[in-house]
This record gives sequence, structure tokens and C-alpha cells, in this order.
Amino acid sequence: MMKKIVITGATGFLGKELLKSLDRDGLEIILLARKIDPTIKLKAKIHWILGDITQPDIVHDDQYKKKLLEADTVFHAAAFYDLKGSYNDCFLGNVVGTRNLLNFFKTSKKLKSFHYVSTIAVIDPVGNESILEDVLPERKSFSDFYSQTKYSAEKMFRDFEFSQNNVAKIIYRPGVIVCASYDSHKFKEDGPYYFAKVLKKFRPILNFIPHLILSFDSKATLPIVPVDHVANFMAQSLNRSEFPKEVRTYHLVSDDLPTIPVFLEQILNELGINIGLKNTDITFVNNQILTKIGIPKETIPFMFHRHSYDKSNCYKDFENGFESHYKDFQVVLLKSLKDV
Amino acid sequence: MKQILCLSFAQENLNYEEEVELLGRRAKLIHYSCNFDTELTESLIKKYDGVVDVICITGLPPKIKFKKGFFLHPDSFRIKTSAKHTPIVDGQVFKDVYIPWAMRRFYLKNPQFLTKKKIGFYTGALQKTFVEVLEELENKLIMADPYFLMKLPFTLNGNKSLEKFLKILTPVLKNLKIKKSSVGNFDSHYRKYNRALDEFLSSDILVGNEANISFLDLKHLKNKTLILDIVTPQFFEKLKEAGLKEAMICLPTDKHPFINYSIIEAFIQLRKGEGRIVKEDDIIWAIDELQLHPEVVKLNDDLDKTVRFAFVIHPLSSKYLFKHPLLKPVAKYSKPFEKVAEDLMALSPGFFYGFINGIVSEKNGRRVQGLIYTVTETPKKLVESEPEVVYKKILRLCEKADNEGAKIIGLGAYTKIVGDAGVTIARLSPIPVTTGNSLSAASTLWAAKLAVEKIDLVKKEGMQFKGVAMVIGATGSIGAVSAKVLALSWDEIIIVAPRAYKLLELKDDILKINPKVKIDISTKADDHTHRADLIITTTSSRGETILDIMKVKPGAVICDVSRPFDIKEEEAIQRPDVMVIASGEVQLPGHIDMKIDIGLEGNIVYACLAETALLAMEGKFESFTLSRNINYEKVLEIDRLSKEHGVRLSQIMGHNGFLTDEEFRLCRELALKKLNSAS
Repeated sequence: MMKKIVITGATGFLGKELLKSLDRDGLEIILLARKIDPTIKLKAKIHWILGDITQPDIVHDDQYKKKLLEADTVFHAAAFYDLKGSYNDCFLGNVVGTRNLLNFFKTSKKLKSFHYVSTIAVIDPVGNESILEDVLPERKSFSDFYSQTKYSAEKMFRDFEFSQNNVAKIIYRPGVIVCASYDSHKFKEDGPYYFAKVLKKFRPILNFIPHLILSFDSKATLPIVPVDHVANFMAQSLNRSEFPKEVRTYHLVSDDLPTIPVFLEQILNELGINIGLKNTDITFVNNQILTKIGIPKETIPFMFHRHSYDKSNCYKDFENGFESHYKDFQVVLLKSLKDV
Repeated sequence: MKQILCLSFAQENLNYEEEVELLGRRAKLIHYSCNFDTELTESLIKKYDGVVDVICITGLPPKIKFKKGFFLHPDSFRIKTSAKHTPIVDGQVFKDVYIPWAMRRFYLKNPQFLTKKKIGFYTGALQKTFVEVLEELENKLIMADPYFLMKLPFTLNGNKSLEKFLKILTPVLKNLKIKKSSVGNFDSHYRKYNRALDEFLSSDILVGNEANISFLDLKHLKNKTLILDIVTPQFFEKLKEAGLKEAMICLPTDKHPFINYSIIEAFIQLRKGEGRIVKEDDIIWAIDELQLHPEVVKLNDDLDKTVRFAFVIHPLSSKYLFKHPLLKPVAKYSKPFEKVAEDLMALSPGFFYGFINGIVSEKNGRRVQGLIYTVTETPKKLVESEPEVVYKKILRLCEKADNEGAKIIGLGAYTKIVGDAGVTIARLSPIPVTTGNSLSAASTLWAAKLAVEKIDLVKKEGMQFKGVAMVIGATGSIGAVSAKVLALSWDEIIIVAPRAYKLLELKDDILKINPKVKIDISTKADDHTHRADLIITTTSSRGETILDIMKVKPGAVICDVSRPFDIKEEEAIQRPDVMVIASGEVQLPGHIDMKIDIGLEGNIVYACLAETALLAMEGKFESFTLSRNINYEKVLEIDRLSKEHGVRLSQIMGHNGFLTDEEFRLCRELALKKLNSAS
């Protein structure tokens, strides 16, 4: 029987890559979106359904409702991602949208699995902990509304109960998503791209300064992952016939990542900036300066990020685990950062 | 199913859906917390307008009413009027009715909790209903509104200054954005730099609500008492972690976990239907239906700390006056001077008499210490004096006890029957007061039951005594409750008191408890003593004869509750076939160390003292028993607490000390002889 999948956020950066990974014959994909993207063309059968997940009634037409409820799998990748976004926009997009979608499928008799794209941003980035997959650690403060609302949404998803208790609940927590490992042009400006942009802008000045003074933890790493690695892993889930009964979480962060100072040096090298790095303790002043020159303050905590992400579920449930190594996409990434 | 959109304006991270049944209606609650974001609140209202049946919002700044007008923040107004189809409620109508009623009701049961206290409000403007009620109850109010709202370094005292402040600052407040970051810092670290904060934090009780204080650093609440209109389980845990000692919660939610004021109002709105406004009568009905009442909850109860209680006694007669250190040297020659001593000592103030140490609860291991104070009046003097004079003396002792850390004080013997039986003293005392009559009544019945069983002349079927029990002084506080409790386990009850009309009222009350019991009423005990197997005397006869012991049935047990005794020793001796027992004495759990003489042998104490100690063991610091009316349910409660903590009947006592099994056996033998020779 043809598998029917509903995808939200298909027109977004991750969503498009996910479509690519999922695309095959024998699949029917229902794209729930606010508007049609005519550039999306697939081998699989596509249906576009226009709707708004931030409304209590996500679609109005009963026919479309019926179509959506035929799905046996839902990939919920839609989110409001903008570090400068207002609380209103982030909450509506991430919390209310997720709640409305869950409620819509609550009583579905055909649904077998609901896949929710969360983010490692739900974890406080500052620290040196081993983050377990199936736990959402309690968190009281957030540096931005995106991570705050994604935290609320993941909490809500974990607590949600479908009427049919055999619906599998799967959570993906991707790291900071960077360009595709095969194409340096496919990227979204985020994380290291902000740094690269600023360094490029000030390149003429930086070449005359002996040291770039920044505040960071010398053992910190930036938890990045290429977009196609995330999408490919998620698409693998479609091949599973069974999932565990309890909520299953997968951390999708690349392995063997360089430390922050090493990574910054690689970027500086790629950009042709000949400058040494120096670490400072005057964090507050340093952060003020970084914000002033265009680095979003929400990314700065990652300069002190030393967490390791447990991936035992990835290895338990998938033969090859989550295969993603920095050395395999380093060259493409650095080129991508150069071209920002 | 009906749907209610619930928006918590001042909370974050609490998003859920739940089906709830309340006031005869079932509805789905769709709950979002808006984290002080007005834009989000309005967006959600717009999205759900016309989709849900009611929208309820909690945590928005309310309408603040002054004498000549009101202030409503423009953001609040805009939000509350943003729906076109669905009614919006905010719980304010409910609060305006419920809170004054709840506070007054609480005050009547626990007057010292809310009288003559320094009460600090984080913001009186947002808690106006509390301000008005608490000011009526003669408390000193400190309002931190200038500091809380605008970080200004001063506080307001009283409703009048609050109204003046609000009037002057209305134009500024209108432009103030509602957000959590703009409020003052209440960290007690800043006390030394900020007089306003220092004054506020030195309050006996603080008043706030979760919306105002959940985002503050709560460490300043350590060991404090807080009054809250309502508290969520999550915030309750935060308060516990912060070391808050106790909280008075106006609307406890343990029976209805998902409710708050606005949700209750939403359900009332559902019940009323479309187009109709919720009014005060609807609120009154809901309060009655939901059986709501405020509660004090202890959050951090330090069981390791010794808790102190106090107890007031008096000399039982003029000869006891010569136990006073000043008069002890001349005690041998006291007889001719007893009258003079009685008159003179009545003029001197009460004083600290001694400690009772070593009390340890069997339930929770709490250690309790008793501070025994005494007034200097004999029973005769206490009854002759003006109540106000005696009140003053006792109140001074209450203040002393409070200064020494006592959490509750009990009134012994005649100190509890003066005037209004503790009510005025309780109202004016800084610590709760109890007469101890609940445990006096309970222990009377323990002793009586045991004595009847030892004499073993009354047939018993299961728990039911197939005989006649009589209560003399039945319309008194202990007598009435004794009669009601005996009616549950005796076939026939005779109730005796001087006023017939009161007996008729009591008879009706007893029949409501047990319609099957046979009840006789009389104003003359002697007409019926020949039939009674058990007689409880609880009068304040002060030496007058209350019955002719020669007419009492052989083998009867007379349980003499009164002090001084109703049955004199000389009378009891005349009837060795009648068992006269004393009652009201119990033993406390632990290894009691009592070096003072309170008129009882060994480590036995009066039941009224034991009640005070028991309440201290339980941590129940309230005026448990007051006035002349002992509550039947309270007697049952104190009976239960006694069993839990290990307060027990001491050995049954007669006029001259403990009664042995041999004495019971002898009495029974003599009674049987008499009964056989009579037949």
C-alpha cells in the first residue's frame, strides 16, 4: 500500500532537503503550507494543501481535512526560526502551530508516526554536560524567543497523548544547520555564517591588527550539522516499520568537530585574514562589542558550548547510527562560509 | 463539548489542554501562557474569537477602584475588549466577592493570624480587595507599590496614601509597559541600602499573587508568611524551595487542580449562556457550590526545632497561694491568713511558673516544651473579678509567652470560663488561644468508658452499652458534647441542667445525631440518679452539692469533671459501692520532666493543657477551642490527634490519687451485694 506522508515546513531550508531525501516512487506526499512553491518537483505524488497551522482550524475545507487524515506519517518541520523574531511570532509559529497540528491528528485512526523537528537550542548551550536523548532538562532562562518557544513546544509534544496509543512520537534535535555537504551554495545564514560575514566585512582592518580578541572557552565546539545529513537521517525513519512505544529522541550533531579556536582559525584562513586569536576574560565587554558589529547575541553563548550529545538511540535504531563527520564536509563548509 | 481559551498573561511555559468538569458543566480548557507579551495575548484572542465559547485571562493588571474613579491600564483595556464574538472574563468579579468573604471567614476562625500585624503588600494597587479587608482588621499596612512599580525608594502606609499615590501617578502608570523586568528587586541583600525595602521585608506577613512575584528572586521569602489569592502547584514548589514558612491560600486548588478565578468565572459564564453577564449572585452561588474556603499551608515545618506552647493556670484554692515563693516560708501557718492572702495576691500580676520538658510526639517525633504561667487569683476571685481585669492579666501573659517563642497558649480551669470563655482573649492575643475543652470532653469520655467496663455491671453488645448514662450540667460546653457522644453508644441518656429550655434544645440536637436513643430531661438530678449506670458531672458549682449520693444506683460510675470537684471526698466515702472518678487528666508522650506542682500527681497533666501541647505537636497553631460551645466535630478531631501523637488517658484518678484494679473490684463486690439484698 502507498505510504502517505504529511509534511509541514516543506518550503523551508530543511524541508526542501527533506523532500529530496524522501522522494521516491510509491510515496504520496501531502504538503501542508501557507503557499505553493512551484519550484518543488518530485518523483513522488504530491498534493498541496493550503492552510495555516497557527489557526485553531488549520484548514477550512472538509475535503482537505479528510485528505490530511489519510496520512500514516507526519513530519512536522515547520517552525518560526528568526533569532530577532518577536515572542508573538515565535510562540504562534512554534507552540500554537505544533499544538494545533497535534490536535488535528489526535483522533486520526490511520496515523502510525508523528515526527517532530526540535533543535539542540532547547538545551542551554553554556556548559559541559553529556546531554541525554530522551530527556528534556528543565530550563529557566533563554537567550532568545526561538529557543524558548521550541523548548515549550518540545515539552508539549512529549506530554501530548494521541487517542490511538500506538502512534509513535519521534523527536529530532538537529544542531546548528549549515550548508549541504555536497553543495556550498545551499546554505541558510545562521551560526558560523554570522561570524564569517562580519570577518569578511572587517577584513581590511583585521589584516593590520596582530590579534583578534574574543571571549570563548578554548575547548568549546560549535554543534553544527549539514542539512542533507539531517534530512537523510529523517528519511531513513520512513523505512522503519516499528518504533518504541515511548517518545524517541535523536540528536543530529556531527562528530569530530573542531574546537572554537581551531574552527575560527580555519575560517580566518579561508577568508585570507592573517591574524592570531587571543582569549579574553572580559566577557561582558567583548559580547557588547560583538553585538555591535553584527553578531547576534543569541549565538554568543555557543562560544562556551562544551556539551556532548548522546546518540545511543541513533545507534540502537539505525544500522549505521548517525553518520556525519566534520572531515567529510569541512572543505565544502569553509567554501560556503567564504561565499556568504 | 464547550471550549474555553485560558490565557495566563504573567506565566511562561505552561501550555496544555485539559477536559474539566466544574459547576455541572464539562469543557475543554485550552491553556497558553503569554509571558507578559501583550501582542501574543491579543493574537491568541483574535485567533480563538468565535471559535471557543469563553475566553478567560488571568494575570492582567486589574481595574483599580479608588473613591472617585478607577484606573485601568490601556493594555488591559485593549486586551479585554479585543474579542468581537466570544465573551472575555478575567475573574475579577469573582475575586471582588470571594476574597473579602474568604478573608473575613478566615479571620473569624483564626483571629490572631490577621490582627495587629504588620502586613506588607508587594503592590496594594493590584491587591485592592485585600487592602480594604486587612485594614478593617486593625493591621498596619505597608505597601511597596512605589518600589515595585517604579523602583522608587519609599512605601505607602494605608489605603488613603495608596489612593493618593495612584491618583497622582495615573498619567505615568498609563504609559508604563506591563513587563516583568521593570519591577523592583526584592532581594534581602539590598535591605541595608534601601529603607523602603527594609520596611517592607520586616513585615510579619506579606501579600502578593503569583503573577506579581513569580519572577522575583524568592530567597527573601525564607521563614516568612505569605498570603496569596491562588497558587499553582509549580509555584508552590518554588515557594517551598525558597524556604517560605507558611502560606495562606485564599483559593486552594487541591480539589480542583486546573482552576483559577478566571476559569471559575468562565464556567459561570458558560452556565449563564450567551449575551448574559456574570453578576454577584452567580458568584455567591458558585462559592456555595464549590465549598470554597481559604487554607493555611505549612511549607517548611522544621520538625527538629523544639516547639513551645504556653499554658495559664491558677491556684486551685487559697491554700495553694502558699506555694508562691514569697509565701512558702509561712505556709505552715497559712490557715488564718488564707482569706487575706487571697485578696492581696489577686492584686499582683501573673508570672512565669515553670517548664514542662521532654514531650515528644509519637507521630512525627516533634519535641515540644510547655511554658507554664499562672495568674494569682483563686477560682473565687476569678469569678468575682470584672472580666476585663482578668483579660488584661492573661493578655500580658500571652505577650510574655509570645516573646518567649510560644506558638499557642491554653487557658486552664477557671481562666477559661471568665467572661466570654476565651473569645476576647483570643482576639487580642498575639498568639492563638485555646480553652482545651475539646480534649477535656474527650478524656472525660475515655475515663468514663473505661471505668464502666472495669465495674462490669452494664451489659454491652458490641460497642453499645445497654444501660443509662446521665449528664449533669448537660447544657454546659463539656456536658453537651459528652451527652452527644454518649448518645452514640448508650441506649438511654438523661440530661440534667438548671434551665429546662436549654435542655429541650439539647435534646433536639442529640436526636439529630442518633434518632434511636431514648432521652429523658430533668432539672433535678436526684429524681433519676437511681437509674443511671454512668453519671457525668460537669458543673461549676464551686462547692455546692449537685446530687445526693445516697440516691445513686449501686455500681454506678460518677465521672466528676469539675475542678474543684462537684462530689466532695466526704460524700464519696459514704458510698463505697459507687465509683467516683476524676477526669480530664491525661499523660503526654515522651519522658516528661516537670518540676513544678500543678495540683496533679507525677507527670499527669490536665486535658486542657494536653490539648495545647497536642496542637503544638501537630503544628496546628490555631484557636482550636473557644467560647462555651465545644464543637462535637472538634472533639472527634482531637480524639483522633490524641491517638496519633500518643496522648492518652492517665490512670483513672479518684479524689485521692490513682484508682487501682483492686478498688474497682471491691466497689463491684459491694455493689453486687447491695443489688442482691435489694432484690
